[in-house]
Amino acid sequence: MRILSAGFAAVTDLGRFSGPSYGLSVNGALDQLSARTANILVGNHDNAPLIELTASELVFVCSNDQLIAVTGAAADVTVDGVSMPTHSPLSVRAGWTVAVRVLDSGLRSYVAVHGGLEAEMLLGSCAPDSMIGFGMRLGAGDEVAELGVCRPLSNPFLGGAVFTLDVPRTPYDRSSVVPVTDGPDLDEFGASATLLYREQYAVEARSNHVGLRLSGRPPHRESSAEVLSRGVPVGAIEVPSTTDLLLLHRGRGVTAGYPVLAVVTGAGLDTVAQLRPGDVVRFRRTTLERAGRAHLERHLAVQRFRERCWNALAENGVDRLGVGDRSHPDRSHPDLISAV
Amino acid sequence: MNIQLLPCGEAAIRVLVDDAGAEEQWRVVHRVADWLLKNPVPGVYGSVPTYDSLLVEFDASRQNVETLAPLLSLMARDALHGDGPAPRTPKHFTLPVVYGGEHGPDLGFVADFLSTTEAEVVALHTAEERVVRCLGGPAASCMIDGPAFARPIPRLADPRLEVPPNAVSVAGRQGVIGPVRSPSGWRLIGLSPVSVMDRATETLVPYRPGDVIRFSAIQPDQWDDYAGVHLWELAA
Repeated sequence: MRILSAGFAAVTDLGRFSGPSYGLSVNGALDQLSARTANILVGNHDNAPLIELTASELVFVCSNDQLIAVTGAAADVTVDGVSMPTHSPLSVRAGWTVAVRVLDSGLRSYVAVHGGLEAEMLLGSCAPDSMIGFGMRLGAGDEVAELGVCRPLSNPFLGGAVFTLDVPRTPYDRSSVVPVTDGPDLDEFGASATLLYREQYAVEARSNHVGLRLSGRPPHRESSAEVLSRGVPVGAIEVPSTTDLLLLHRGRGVTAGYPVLAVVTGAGLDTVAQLRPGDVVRFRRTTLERAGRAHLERHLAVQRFRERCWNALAENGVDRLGVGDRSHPDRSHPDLISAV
Repeated sequence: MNIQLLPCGEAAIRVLVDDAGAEEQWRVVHRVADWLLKNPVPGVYGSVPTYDSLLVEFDASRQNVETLAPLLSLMARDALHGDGPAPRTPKHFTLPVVYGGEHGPDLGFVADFLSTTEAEVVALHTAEERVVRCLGGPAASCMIDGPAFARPIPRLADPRLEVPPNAVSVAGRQGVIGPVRSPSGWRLIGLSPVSVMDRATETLVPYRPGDVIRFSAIQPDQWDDYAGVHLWELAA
């Protein structure tokens, strides 16, 4: 595809899962569920390289007849000037112009094309790593190779979706509630820890893929002992000041010297990926058992969706399903093997 | 010694080695990490070992804290008793560094803080080999023990927004080599003309915890002699 204009857009995948063992952040799509569903909608593996578009507009021309899908934040999608729905496979002819503009509900959209996009790989992943300057940020004039071709599905010229599917979606709201489990250092915050579940916090503008700054009334640490550098999980909530929380996301450095108060669940992190500056967030305390169960339920929902979607694609003549994953089919992302 | 397993959400667990000397904690933690790297457990992505703990990350649709906890406890127990793989033969690196001046703007501060001379700080910093303790954020930074300074070195009150790659810094009782351009609150005492990171290599940086680094002082006019040299080429 040829990029005509791009705000903040980059080619990514689900992440560099072996990276933390080598001191690198995992990175990858911040809203994992939306990245998975975008790829599934076009018949790809969950991990195929796709575009993450953050709070801006992307305009491109497809090089091949293509099947594309846009998921994640609310977005205006036009194909050759005609409005199209998000969360649906869309047939696009070679040479047609596609424009995706993220609206003001949610922050990040995902654009997948059948077969995936060509991208440089590092430790089995194309996910950009801003700390080491790796990755493909898109700009006007860039050419990105499409690895697949897909002839038009039935009736693309009528301007509607080919079929509608009940796509699992990341919950998002201007005042979202995000589930957290107790962090390993919760005790250091004493009774003030409960402020985390009682107060509300506002997303500050200086938030990115590394972490979100949240202003409000944070708990305070009662211990003053020096903290050794330790591995910090994605989703860690730390308290670096008396007015802010820091919520670490997938670009976080793998070690830090702050105590971890709470950890946002996997599903919660997808919601957090959609929070916009000025949005308000509350945290709901949950247990490990419930968080684990929620994760499994989501995992099964994605499996069911994949099966429904790929049956429908096959009925519409898409014959190459499960394409586009150029990462090593090994432990860097084991559940993709069972997904085929 | 005591092993604590502390869940960090539904997809990670901190293995903390408690109630032991720092050297023993570090040894156990890295033995478990090496074991996991060499003998992958299905659904486990890997681990981040540091000083007294490692963070084990996993796919929550294939593993959970209850199923992993017994295995990790046993691994830590075996590591404590010296079972498991033979320790890797450490690699040795010698890193040339231009100290002070524009290359190490905080060398003067460190000397003043220790009531000594810049030359003495450099002498202490180059005096002995340092064990690589862990790979830290950002970007596989090389974390080492600091030189035998009389007192811990305070961090910058106002961190620098950017230090160049291959920066050699100290803070507290620790030292660090930063492979990439990044913000830093550490005291920058020198720069190396050698590239620590090579993106063309599989692991990007050549050192692993347990390897050994020694610094050697070079003059600014020797900088260009090392143009294009990578740290992995200096391994012995």
